[in-house]
Amino acid sequence: MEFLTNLLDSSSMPWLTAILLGLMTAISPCPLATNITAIGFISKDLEDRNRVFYNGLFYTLGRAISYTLIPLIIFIGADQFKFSGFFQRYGEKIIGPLLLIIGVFMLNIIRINFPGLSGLTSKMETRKSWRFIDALLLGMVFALAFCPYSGVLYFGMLVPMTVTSASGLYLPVLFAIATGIPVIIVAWVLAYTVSGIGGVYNKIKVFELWFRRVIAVVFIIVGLYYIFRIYL
Amino acid sequence: MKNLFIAGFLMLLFSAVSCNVQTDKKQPLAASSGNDVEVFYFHMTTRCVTCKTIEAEARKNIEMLYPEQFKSGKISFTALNIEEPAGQITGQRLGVNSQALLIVKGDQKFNITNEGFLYAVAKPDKFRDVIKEKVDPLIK
Repeated sequence: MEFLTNLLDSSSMPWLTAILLGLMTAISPCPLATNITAIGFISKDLEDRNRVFYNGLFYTLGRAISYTLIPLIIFIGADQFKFSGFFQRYGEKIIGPLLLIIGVFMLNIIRINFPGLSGLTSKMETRKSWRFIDALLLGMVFALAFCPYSGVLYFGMLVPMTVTSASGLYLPVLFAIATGIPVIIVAWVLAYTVSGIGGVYNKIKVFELWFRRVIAVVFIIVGLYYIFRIYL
Repeated sequence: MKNLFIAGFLMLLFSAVSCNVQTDKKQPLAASSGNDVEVFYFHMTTRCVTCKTIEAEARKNIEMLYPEQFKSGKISFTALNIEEPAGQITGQRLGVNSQALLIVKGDQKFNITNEGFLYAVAKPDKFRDVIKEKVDPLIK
């Protein structure tokens, strides 16, 4: 962290500052927890190596959309202080229960069948493209889980740099890529290294059900981590 | 699953926009005492390691750099929870609604939140220098 702080001090280029802020955010506790959860989520399709890697990229793209949308709304005219205050207060308060709910749904402990929607829902889930959208949406939601430290790096440093002119709107994209780097790297390793080992594919097919349960438990544990941090 | 993600994202985004619209009131900056230097640290109920370190370092630096003025009340350090009524009232007066480290004298206000988060843990000496640089001209 000290190394990154030193680099940040000496950086006079906005694009480098954005990347450094993103890296500092990536290794801070809250984004680290959401990134670990994301890695669990995207690795559920381990039998399709390309999809794992693409999921990692779509997750990062989702983060980029949220991180760019916020400065855009501020640039258009929203009050930066009130906007940042809201996300820093409520972002991590919502993410804990949300992760817990997703985890419970993934475990199939609770089944809710909406009349007339079950057929549609199952069709959506069997379509490959929806899985990419899942990863994209996960990235968009997780990006909004600001903790005190990551909140200041983003709202206190990156957003002011970004909103000074419309040409600064590329900075959140670089910031998002830097925050998603751990996920992209792990997705790449999982996709092209681990899944390439002989015999792993068959074992994964056998243990797929357990794999999904483990991922659901990761969601629940990280959700509980947020809930305990904030509410208890 | 997709619907859950969408619901979560929209819930956060729209609540933020509506919150932004509802609380758009300007508050005067005027502090309670015009000649004294007041250092305010605003924090949330949930506090990270860095947040606690900023408060401890800022308080220690103020007490060490300006011992006489601190004793006489010429400079003060106050930590407030922005999610509690007392913190909200002072925060509104100073135009703050999230975590912040402010140095205030009359109508002058310096926000050194970013410096606090960057240096309090990694470079405490530099953090002390930032405080000194801002407070010295105000205390003379």
